[in-house]
Amino acid sequence: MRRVLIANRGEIGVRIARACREAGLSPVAVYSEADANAAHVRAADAAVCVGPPPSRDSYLKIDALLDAARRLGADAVHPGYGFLAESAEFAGAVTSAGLTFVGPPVEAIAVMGDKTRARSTVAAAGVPVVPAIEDLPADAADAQRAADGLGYPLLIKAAAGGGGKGMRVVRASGDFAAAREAAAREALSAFGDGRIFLERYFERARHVEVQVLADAHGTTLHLGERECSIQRRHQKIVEETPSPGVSGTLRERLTMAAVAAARSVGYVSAGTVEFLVTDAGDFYFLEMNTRLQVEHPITEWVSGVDLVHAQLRIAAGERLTWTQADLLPRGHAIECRVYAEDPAQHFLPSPGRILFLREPQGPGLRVDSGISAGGEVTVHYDPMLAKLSAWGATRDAARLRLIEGLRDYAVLGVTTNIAFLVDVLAHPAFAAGATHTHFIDEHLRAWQPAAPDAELAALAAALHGVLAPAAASGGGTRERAASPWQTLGAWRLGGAG
Amino acid sequence: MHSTYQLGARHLHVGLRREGAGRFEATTDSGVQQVDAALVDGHTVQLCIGDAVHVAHVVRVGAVAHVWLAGRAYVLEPERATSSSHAVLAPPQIVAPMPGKVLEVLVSPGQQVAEGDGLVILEAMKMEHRITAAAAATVRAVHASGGQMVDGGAVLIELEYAGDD
Amino acid sequence: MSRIESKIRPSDAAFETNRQRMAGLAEELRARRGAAQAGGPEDARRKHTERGKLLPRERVEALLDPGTAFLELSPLAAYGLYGGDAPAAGIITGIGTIQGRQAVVVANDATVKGGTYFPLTVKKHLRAQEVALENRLPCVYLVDSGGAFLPLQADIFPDREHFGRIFYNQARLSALGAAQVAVVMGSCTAGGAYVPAMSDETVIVRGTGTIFLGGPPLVKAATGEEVTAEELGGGDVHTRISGVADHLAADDRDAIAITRRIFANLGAPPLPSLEPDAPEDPAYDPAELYGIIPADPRIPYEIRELIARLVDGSRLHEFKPLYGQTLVTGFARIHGYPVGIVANNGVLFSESALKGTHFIELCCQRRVPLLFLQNITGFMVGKRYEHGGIARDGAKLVHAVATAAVPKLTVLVGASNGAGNYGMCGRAYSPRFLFSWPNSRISVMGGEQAASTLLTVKLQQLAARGETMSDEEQARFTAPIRAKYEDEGSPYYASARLWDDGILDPIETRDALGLALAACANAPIPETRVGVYRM
Repeated sequence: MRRVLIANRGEIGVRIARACREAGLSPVAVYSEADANAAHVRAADAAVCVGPPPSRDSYLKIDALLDAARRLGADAVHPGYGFLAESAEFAGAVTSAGLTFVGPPVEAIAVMGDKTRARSTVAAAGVPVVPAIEDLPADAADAQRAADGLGYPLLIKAAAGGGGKGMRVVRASGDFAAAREAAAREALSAFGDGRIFLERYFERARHVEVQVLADAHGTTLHLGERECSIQRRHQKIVEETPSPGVSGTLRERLTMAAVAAARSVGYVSAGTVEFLVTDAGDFYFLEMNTRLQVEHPITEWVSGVDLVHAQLRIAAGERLTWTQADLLPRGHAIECRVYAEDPAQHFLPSPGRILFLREPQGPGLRVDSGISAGGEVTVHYDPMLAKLSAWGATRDAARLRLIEGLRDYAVLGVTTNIAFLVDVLAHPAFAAGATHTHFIDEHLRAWQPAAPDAELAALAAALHGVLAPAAASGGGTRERAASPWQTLGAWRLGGAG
Repeated sequence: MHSTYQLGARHLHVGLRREGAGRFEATTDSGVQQVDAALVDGHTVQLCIGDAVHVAHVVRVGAVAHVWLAGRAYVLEPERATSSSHAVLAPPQIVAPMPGKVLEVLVSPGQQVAEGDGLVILEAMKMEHRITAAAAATVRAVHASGGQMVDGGAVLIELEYAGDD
Repeated sequence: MSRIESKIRPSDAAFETNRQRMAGLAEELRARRGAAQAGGPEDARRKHTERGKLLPRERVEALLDPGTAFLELSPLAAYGLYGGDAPAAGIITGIGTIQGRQAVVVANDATVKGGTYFPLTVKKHLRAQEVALENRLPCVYLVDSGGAFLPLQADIFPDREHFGRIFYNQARLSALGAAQVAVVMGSCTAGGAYVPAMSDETVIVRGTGTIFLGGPPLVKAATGEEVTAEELGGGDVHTRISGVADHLAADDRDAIAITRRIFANLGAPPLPSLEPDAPEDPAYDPAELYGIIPADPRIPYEIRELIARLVDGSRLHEFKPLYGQTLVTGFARIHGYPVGIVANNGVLFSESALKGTHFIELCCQRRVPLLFLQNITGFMVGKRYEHGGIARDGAKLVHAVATAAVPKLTVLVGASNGAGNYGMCGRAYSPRFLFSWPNSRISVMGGEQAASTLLTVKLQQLAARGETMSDEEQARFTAPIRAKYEDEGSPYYASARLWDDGILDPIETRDALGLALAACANAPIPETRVGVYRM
């Protein structure tokens, strides 16, 4: 392996490029027309455009990506997370093209990618699974009967999906029919596969996941668990390790189950096994993410293992050099995801241009960022800007460090969730470790941004007007107001520019 | 120099008088104070008020100022008319803007209407004019009916606005 | 300044109907532009390139600073005329930047009838020079033309606004300090020879560029002398012997490189007469313009919704919002440049005309450019309004528009009928730029009004003779009138005849206006002097 094509964008593109360089490999990037000046392109040695802004025409286009790999002389492909990271078709195409896929074997992706096959496979290996209806009858009345048999509340999920798409909670029998139709429609439009299945739903469960790492020589290790219960719209925004709600014996059982699940599909590379943990201390297998996880930095903080570096070594055929006993976690780490979204407006994405950016720094803080001042946050992709994580000897030390980091994180031009994240981390319930998947609904439902220093902000704006009249600027890159002849680029009638 | 910004519904007034190099007398809604201010780089302002030190990042785009201060981002818009002025400015009598034919009356007395709701459709000068409510109101009286020819200035509808006493 | 609060709901059924219709019109516009941009027939283009020459659009692209805008003017000139033989009237004109300097570019398309001048080619060339004159822009002429299209010589040669005016303009532009640069990249015969000869600096391409008053056949006929074109007036002749040209270029690309070096030495540009603020995108998506313009032209629409999608931050500081409400006036910015907007929101009454007049005076006093958004069926009619002196008040508006010395820009966003066209700065009122939208309609009155007016007159005549018309006869009488107005009122009919500077897709309007305003800033803004306002 010499040259790795990163089939992704944003912060993870930058993160993988960094790991490649450290491993002595040359990182190369792909980008859509909207991303020509994006941070992940600058992080690479070479890059090619793979298509128009919509991801289905660029980052999800397998032939364009393989063509890019060929043109850039890459001999391996790292898929990152999201996009095609869990596409068995993509992994297969990469392998067939004679390239190394930095990830698990195609068959492992295929099995874990099909929720029903995944359940039966891990259940056969002795891993507990959530009570569910896998083969939901097509007939509406039969489906209704099946749902009633499972009991409420229940969760409708897309068989092919993830990321909250096509997901519906149904609390009463009367709501089932409509929710079933809506979920199937959403699943069809998001994944091109309208199949859905039902699961029992646990109102106050925790979402706990276990990081596993396996080489191609039969070694499968775990790197402890992560608690990912703080979610909005079924997507995680705060993660931590170790989980404040997992005791020593439960941890033992969870991690053993995770290793068993990974082994059941012959897993290789980094992967994550997700569990639902109830108040009673029961746990159920949810799914396995056959890829690098967004929140992998917190595991890296406490384990000292560079997961992307490990993925690259495993892909190159090397053996893991650790034993399970070497991987004792140290301290506590928390990560939060900084999004361009408005928490006061149902977390609606807030696209726009980053006018100013100053990222925090300091001991025990890590920023995984995919943006830069002057950059554009477009409507085409997930609006995550960056991840900020902090390490501390204790949970509270990490928490306070992360709060200070967020308070020092300056982003102008797009609305972000930074102030909201501070309020999550500073909440007494979070401080007490009482996290669960409905934390935000329960504690921060009607959140509105406070404006304690509005007067001072107005004073600063007025002073800036006096002190920097020439810098009446349109943002970080432009120093003075320019005429559209300088700003519009190759503008033409009809838009062909 | 005086500036007024708007943050949501709130108006923020700032008066600045230069007293010396980097020293200003600042008048804000909470009073008058001395400020020592310096531009650290193009977008960073350091303010010293008494012994308190504040650092703000400011980017101005057109008439809008984006300010980061103490962990929060503020989008300060230029001052605009208060939202209640819709009702203040809205006429209580809805008149025909020109002579024409009433095609349809869309409301009846006592009905509640919201801002932008249609009241009457009038055909005049070969155009169909949809006359709408300028603010939320209650219909007090209707003086027109479908098919009727009306003069310019004829009162069609009387409204009572939500804010009226 | 207040942000306009849009009341448009894209989820409304009407929005979707409108959007689909406008998207269809925009698609048609793109297709027609595309066809015109292709230039002459395939074999003419092949022959052109086989001679080592660049196609005219390639020449323009190579001349402009890479990655910068080109505001093409009248791309659909001669559309549907001359039997379809003259796409874009055989000439490309527009504004672009060369070495950071805005300039007017005029490029003959030799693949269209040898680049000869049809009447509308002359008109388009002159219009480009007028744009240069009004905005003090240097000009580059990429010459490759066989001169006048002889079958139509009477419509090209003798009149005031005919061929001779090209050279008159060159002299006057040069006198104003607007550099005149010619690049001879093909033939340049007879009258055409004066384009390079009248320029400040001239480049000629060896082998393809020729300049002579009479070509070899004419010389043979006149004097019996036998001579090749190259010997008579080629690049070597003119740069070594006659001195008619100044720079000899090896090929088209070399000629363009020389021209760009000429521009690097034009000296300091004039100080701009308008300074932009930092630009701000509109708060509402300009793409929503498609859904705002009603598919049925009988339905009026709120012009502020349109303004909200054109101006910076969707901010409009309205002047007299409660008076003369059928005309919306106010200050705004487009791409940072200040504009005073005068926009129709219904028929014009005396009050609206007076308000417009007052507002235009404000803009002239403050040297703020004016932007007219025309959607006007006319002034109010009827006894009450005539007695009120609406003609007198309308005249005030027309007078103010005519005498305003600030840059004026006009966009036809709907109807443009009657005296409304005058009061709203139609073509006759010399706006610096005038653009139309694909949905616009221009005619002395609406087709429906014309048909019913003529029918009323006809019925009166018949009644005088004791005759009448059946409903069927009436329909037969009015149908051709409606059809004629439908055809002649089309923006394509207008754009083909240079009644505008081009049809714009609504969503590209903001950028086009920004570029136009920045171009206007090249010329100083004089003081406005007015005549007698009839009170």
